[in-house]
Amino acid sequence: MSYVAVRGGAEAIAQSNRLLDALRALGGDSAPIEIDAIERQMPILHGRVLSEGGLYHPTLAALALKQSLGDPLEAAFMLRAYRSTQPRLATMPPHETSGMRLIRRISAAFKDIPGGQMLGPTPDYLQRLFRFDLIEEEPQTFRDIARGWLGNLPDAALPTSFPKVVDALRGEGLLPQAEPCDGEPFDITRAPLVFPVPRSASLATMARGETGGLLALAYSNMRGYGDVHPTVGELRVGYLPIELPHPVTGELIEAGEVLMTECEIIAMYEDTGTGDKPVFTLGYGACFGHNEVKAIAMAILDRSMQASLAHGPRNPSEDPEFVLLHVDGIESMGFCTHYKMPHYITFQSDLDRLRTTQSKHQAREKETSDAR
Amino acid sequence: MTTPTPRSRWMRAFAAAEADRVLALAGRLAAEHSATHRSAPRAGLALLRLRESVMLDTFYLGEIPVTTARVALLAPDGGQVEGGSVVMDDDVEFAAALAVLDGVLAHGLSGSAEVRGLLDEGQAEIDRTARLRAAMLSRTKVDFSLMAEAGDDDRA
Repeated sequence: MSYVAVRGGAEAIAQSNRLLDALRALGGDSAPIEIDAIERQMPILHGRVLSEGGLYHPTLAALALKQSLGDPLEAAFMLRAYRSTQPRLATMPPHETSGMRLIRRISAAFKDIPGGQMLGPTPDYLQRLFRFDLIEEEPQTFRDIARGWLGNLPDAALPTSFPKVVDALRGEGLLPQAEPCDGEPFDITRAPLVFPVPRSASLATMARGETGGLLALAYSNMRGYGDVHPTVGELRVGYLPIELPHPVTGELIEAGEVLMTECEIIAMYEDTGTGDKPVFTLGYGACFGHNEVKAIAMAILDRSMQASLAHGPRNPSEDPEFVLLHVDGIESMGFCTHYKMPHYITFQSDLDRLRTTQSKHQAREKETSDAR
Repeated sequence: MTTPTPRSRWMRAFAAAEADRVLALAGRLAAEHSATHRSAPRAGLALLRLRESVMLDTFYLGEIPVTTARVALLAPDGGQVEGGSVVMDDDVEFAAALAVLDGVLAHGLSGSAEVRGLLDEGQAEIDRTARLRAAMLSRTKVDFSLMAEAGDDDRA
């Protein structure tokens, strides 16, 4: 029996690839899923791929989901692979999220926030009961849902940008004062993380981190392996206008917009022992698409990792090295699934060592037995 | 009377107009004004730099697709004028078309009225989207005072 890789898998691999594609069409007479349908009817899953792929390309994110049979990790992997083939044309000036065109805005800190709270589209108040009528949804019924909701739109566009809750709290002296920092942020696509890393590296890594990975680590902090005790100061979902310089005039012009989610958490104040006025501490989370779990988890981890600056990490969620090296979905998926690949040589080595150890063990037992 | 859309918003408005009509009009005007590429249109990526709002640090949220184009157009006096575009897309042909429309409209070349019409159509679509988003907010705005009047406990 050989444990050495041999030729012969090419045809099997080719057939496996064909089978994977055929699975989409086998055993049914359904129409192929349209890219537009994925983008519009599965916006949460679609947004997750956008953020974890680190590339806001809605069409390719939908195509990636179609190609990967709905696997968000594989789909994000495709976006990352694609982006690695593209030249970088520009780095943008800092974009302020105060200009976001919101579709949802809530606060768990105050009920009366400037501009008010708007629930927008959210599953928060659903009872998680099945709607069996959706199993066989008629196209006309489907179109009527939108028509029924639209009704009479207001004649004039109402404001969709609002002041931030944290700005109001900062004005009252309840939050740390902050000065805009315009230093060059860390580019995680060009440089490896070598610890300690600046906060810009942490935020960028988490912004394209895997939702479940971020949630698991933030949840450990929430349950007791940490003490952030967050309050969601503001959670926003909306469209950020993207401004780039005009190629002729150099003036900043709007080139498009990206859907994003943003969360600011307010955490308990800490006695710094410096005699400074006590103020609340803060955490920040943001990502492409509509993904509130990810934004909240990221904000909690941002705050927990800041805590380690004062006294070192006291638990996994405060340790930047632990957090940032374990939240990337592409990396962790790659490491996990590589175990499926042939390890014939290393396993042969393991077998040899085990057999040698077993022989020695057998010899020792025989010696013991003979001594009796 | 509506306020003309400023040049800083032309790209988004053109992109919101019907793509086939944008390409058709730009193709005709490119021929009419002997358009040439000042530099080859380029498609690639741009890093989105975000200023987070709690400590005002900046970081990269991710990347976006970007295509830029820059064209020269023949002016009535025989000289050359320029148009340019930068769009959040990776369609080089579309970006080049927008650069032609940008140049024609910015310099008042013949065909400006048609370009203005297309721009207005795109702006109308943007306005409709803005009204839709505003409705999402206004129809889901929480009226806490009514809850209090109804005797609900809102102190959670």
